[in-house]
Amino acid sequence: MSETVGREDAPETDDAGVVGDAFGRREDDRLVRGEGKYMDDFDPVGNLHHLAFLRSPLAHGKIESIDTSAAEQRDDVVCVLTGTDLAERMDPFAVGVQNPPEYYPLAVDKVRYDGEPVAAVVATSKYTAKDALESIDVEYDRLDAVTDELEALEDDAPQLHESGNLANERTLEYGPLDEAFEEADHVIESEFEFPRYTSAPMETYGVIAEYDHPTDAATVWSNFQGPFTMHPVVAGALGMSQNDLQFKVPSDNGGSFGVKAHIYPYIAATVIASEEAGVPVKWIESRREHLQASACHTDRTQRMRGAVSDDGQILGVWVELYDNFGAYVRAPEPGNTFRPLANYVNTYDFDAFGGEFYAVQTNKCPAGLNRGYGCHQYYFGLERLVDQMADAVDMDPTEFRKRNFIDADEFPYETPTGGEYDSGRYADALKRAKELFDYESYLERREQAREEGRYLGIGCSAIIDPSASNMGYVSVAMPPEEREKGHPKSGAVSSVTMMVQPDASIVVELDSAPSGQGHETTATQIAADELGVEPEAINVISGMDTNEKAWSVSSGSYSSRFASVGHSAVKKAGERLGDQMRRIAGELLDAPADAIELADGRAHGPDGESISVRRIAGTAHWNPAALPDDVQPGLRTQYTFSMEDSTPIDEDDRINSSGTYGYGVQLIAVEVDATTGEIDVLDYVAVHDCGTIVNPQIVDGQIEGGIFHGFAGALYEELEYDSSGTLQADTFMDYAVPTAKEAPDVTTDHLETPSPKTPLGSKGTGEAGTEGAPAVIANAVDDALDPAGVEITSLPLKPQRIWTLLNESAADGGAD
Amino acid sequence: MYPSKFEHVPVQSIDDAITALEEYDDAELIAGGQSLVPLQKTRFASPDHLIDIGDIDELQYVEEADEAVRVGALATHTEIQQAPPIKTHAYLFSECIGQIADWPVRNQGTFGGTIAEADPSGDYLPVMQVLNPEIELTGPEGDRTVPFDEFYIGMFTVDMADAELVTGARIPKLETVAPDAAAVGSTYKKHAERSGDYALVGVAAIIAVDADETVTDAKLSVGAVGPLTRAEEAEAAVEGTALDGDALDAAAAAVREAVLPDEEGSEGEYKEAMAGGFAERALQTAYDRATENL
Amino acid sequence: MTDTDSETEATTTVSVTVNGEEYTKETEDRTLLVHFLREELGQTGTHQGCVVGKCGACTVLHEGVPKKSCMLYAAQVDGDEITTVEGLPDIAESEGVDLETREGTTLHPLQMGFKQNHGLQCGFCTPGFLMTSYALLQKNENPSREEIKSALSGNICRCTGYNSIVDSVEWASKVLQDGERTAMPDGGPETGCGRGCSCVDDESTGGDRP
Repeated sequence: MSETVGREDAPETDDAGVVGDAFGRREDDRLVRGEGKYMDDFDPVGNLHHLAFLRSPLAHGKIESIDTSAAEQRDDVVCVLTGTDLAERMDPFAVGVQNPPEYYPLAVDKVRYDGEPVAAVVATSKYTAKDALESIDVEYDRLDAVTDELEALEDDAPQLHESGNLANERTLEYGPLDEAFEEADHVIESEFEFPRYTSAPMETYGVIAEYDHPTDAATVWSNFQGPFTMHPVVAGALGMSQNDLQFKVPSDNGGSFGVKAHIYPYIAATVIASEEAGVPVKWIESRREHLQASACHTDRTQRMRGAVSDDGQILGVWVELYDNFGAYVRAPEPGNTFRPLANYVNTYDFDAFGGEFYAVQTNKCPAGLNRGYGCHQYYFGLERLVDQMADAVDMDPTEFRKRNFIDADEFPYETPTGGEYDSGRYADALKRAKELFDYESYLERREQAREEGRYLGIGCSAIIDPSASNMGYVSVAMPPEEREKGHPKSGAVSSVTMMVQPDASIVVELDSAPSGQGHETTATQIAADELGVEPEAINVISGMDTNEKAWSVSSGSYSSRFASVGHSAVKKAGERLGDQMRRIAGELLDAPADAIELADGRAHGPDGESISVRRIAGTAHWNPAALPDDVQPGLRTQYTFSMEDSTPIDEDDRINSSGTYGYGVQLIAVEVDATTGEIDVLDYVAVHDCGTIVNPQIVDGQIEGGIFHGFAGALYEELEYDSSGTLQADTFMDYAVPTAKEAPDVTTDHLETPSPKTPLGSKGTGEAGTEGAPAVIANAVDDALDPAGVEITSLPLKPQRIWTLLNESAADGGAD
Repeated sequence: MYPSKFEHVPVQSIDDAITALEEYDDAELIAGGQSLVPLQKTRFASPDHLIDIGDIDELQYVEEADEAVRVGALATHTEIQQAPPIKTHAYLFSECIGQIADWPVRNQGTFGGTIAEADPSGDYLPVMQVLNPEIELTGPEGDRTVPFDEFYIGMFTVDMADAELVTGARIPKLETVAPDAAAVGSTYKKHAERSGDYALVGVAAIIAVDADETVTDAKLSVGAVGPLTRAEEAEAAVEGTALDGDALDAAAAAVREAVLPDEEGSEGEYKEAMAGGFAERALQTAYDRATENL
Repeated sequence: MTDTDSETEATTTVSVTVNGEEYTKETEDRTLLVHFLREELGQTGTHQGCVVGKCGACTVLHEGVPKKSCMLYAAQVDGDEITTVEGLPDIAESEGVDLETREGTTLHPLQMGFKQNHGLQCGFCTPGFLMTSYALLQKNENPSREEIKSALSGNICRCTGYNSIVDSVEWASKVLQDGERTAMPDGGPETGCGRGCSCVDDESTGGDRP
């Protein structure tokens, strides 16, 4: 059973406070009663019609003809759209790469991946919309497909786009690279491959669009998670001004994990469908569509070279990265490649880093955000390489890591690539993890197992968990001379509005549409502490609305940002509102405002006198004449928190790509069954640090859930394509999402090293678990199979594959 | 995600079911629907009529008879799995069912629907092959009984006319498999990726022993690797032995020889090897259960 | 009864009792039970998460037995009793085991268990898990962790990693066995609880957390 051990070094919090408590989630009250309102649960407008997409059965082909006449003649069909129709109505989506593809929501002239939408039908019901698809006739001229990122770069590879398969290419160099590799006593070279998988949220994409012809404006409801950089992208493509395109996101979202960032092409298609049909249109994605054509992270080939000295110091790392973006590189990509820019050196203090970074297009689903976003794939290679370097110098992998860790007294730490790590105690986390894991005992057990011919292995991974992405980082895709022609980009912001209503009840509005992370609850905890009121006095309105809420392009719930910027915005808004309340109280109590304390729903003066918050609110609303001059009536404030050092990229391609940097250490012990290839997890420990913990249960849930995604991707799930580009896993039968029976037991613990950059000291934590899991499992299995001479350089580690590797190794003569 | 249109035709008796099957051209029977409904939802199956026999009470039973346990076509997997006569007299069948899909699916899926579908990856098939129940059918020509090894022809193919339906089966009690034996044991072993997945390998084994723990009778069937395979040479390899290491090795080798994996390359090799490995496990467990009863 | 001719839809009249209330509605023959419940009857607590009946988000009780409502046609359950997540609070009240959250919401002990033990994050799979768990506790009031995992193997969750779900069901089973209706705090300062709050007056329901 998952066990959470005590917290170390909890920072001092207000004794009477709610922050830091395992405060039962407020969202749960409605969710456990089945009263959550997910996208398919409410009809915001009447006369809703239904949209269905006809999708390509081919990975690559020319569209010779599309005959929609039979479908159009059906009584229950309002209209049918093809890619050609869409291309007349909109521009392709903008994307910041050197050779951008033309990307529309429906295929235009060509299909480029299995499941790409080819036509859209608006009908009276969702069942009949599906029926109508069967009467659309499409003639394809099949083309050869290419699915491998290296093959796609060969001269004779099938070309997906006129702009070529290579959408982007950058070489980045930081620090004394030549020296590092020349001076090294060992240079380790390895090639790693990382597969495609997806967090596959239980709720799929959902969009409702209502185009209003009189005003030429549209309202869209969807479970889009952000980033809201996509709002101007969609508006721009549709040729609409942003204030005519209202994006609304409801409070309840059945999981996102990054995948729901890429719903925006479907939003555009649904808006146009509603415009064309003259009725509001709804689309709920099926699971098969979700696996085929939503988004997942890039698969990749990652060649790495590590320079290490005999005494175990990492001198430098070089990476040659071929990122497989599927059929279209689309905004906000190539984030998969560059999101870890600031933390490419991970937890280590080497200062020479560089690489060649290729964004390759192939006949697969277009890639996008998936939990971990660029880090889990990258760390898989790096942490494997670290183990290999440790092996080359005959050091224990945990000792090797410790030797290279950035020290606790080196913060704030500037990385060679422009990152500014805010705080951390990496060595302490490792030490704690080893204690919980009983590392020494496992070393003995491994010895014993090896004597008996059993395959028992220990794995370690250490990872930096960046959160609150700086919007400027994606511009690294363009070389400096190109960037100069445009405008600099930066920022990680969050806006919160807070109001005390006349009866003293409080409304807190977030600019985030959470998908299970409990934002309504942690926002309540923070606001309650700040204003000194009961949590029940507060209503938190999560979700988004581009017309009615305060927001900016970086708003949204992604890159684990709420705990950094969201919490901060709530805290600061609360401070501001609290200030106003204290000033009003001071006026009423005839005491200095800075001597007033807000607690227990009252404002307490220095001499024991007090008034209720209700009285303060009453004054602010009912008798504004009594307010101090500089306090506006209405008791409402809006605060936009902005990460200070989320500044634009410099001309040396350096940028602090995230706002805060959590981290974690994972240790795992596995035993491999040589007869079946199955991997049994014996023990799994994770020690993480996300700074100040506002709600420990929520943090545990994020770590455990994140680990589970990485575990699933390492051992069970794969979005596998065959050589013709057909997706092999398009149902939950074939895409092997693990059940409770497969779930490992994980022991978690936390350090709390507050971030100096956020007022509460909290940092994001949602992705930490999954960033370290694939690497730690691979390291353990590699260790386990070391006596058999088997090396692990790719995933997933399904039983059949392990068995085959063992057999091949035995045939080759086995152990090293 | 949404099935094509069809007409739902509920029937209340076997006779009505036969009449409906004769009357409608493009019709399927629906019992539990746990295989049919997903096929309809993905539009791999789009019959115009669905003849719903789900309410025919007389087909819902699991009953002990003299030498057999009688199972009605509409007995659900869960009902069969938990029925005392099955646990007592045909334990491997109960053990097998517990590994099929998941609890909610087993609550709705039926014996008749599963048997008639004859999915080669289905867990039932190896168990049926070693037990060889009498399958009871009825149709316009009346009732008939067919032993399973004649009823099951191949992948998704059974001896059943268009207007016929399975009404039930007589599952022989284990003790009748080798009436002179001192004790009998049985098991179903499954190798699959996740709980409830279709098997990569499914092995059913029945072992009868005499008083000095020698195997007198072995029945071994391997499913899911390729065509359903009765591993007769493996059976011969263990009969007359005390299931020592050599006998098990020989049996595993014979199983590997006998199965015909439908995948090529390393996938096929793996399944072949696992067939041997899980056959060994099945034989060992069945044997242990038999000797425990001595 | 089905009405069909070549021009019109094949429709049928379905009468069901859902959470104790009787409904009669006409619908297409091909309407799946999950859609009938959600759209015809407005009971949107039961969710659809996949196509081929693997994820269990649609799990309801059919005559008290857990089944996947996306793999049943409404027509197949004509005349029968269905229980959905919306029925749990009333069931709890009728059995005298209902609990109240700090905000005054009435929950069945299972629902409270999920809240106490962080057995949900996005909540989309939760109704399905609740129905299967409810049925489990009806037939086995003290299941082991392994038995809970087996019973729940037909319900997929993508957020929690499952262990907190097993904790939630264990918690509820203890509360239900004790038979005592205690004031149920759901975390928060006045309970004096720290992390992993599952402690109540009676320590035996506290589980393994400190």
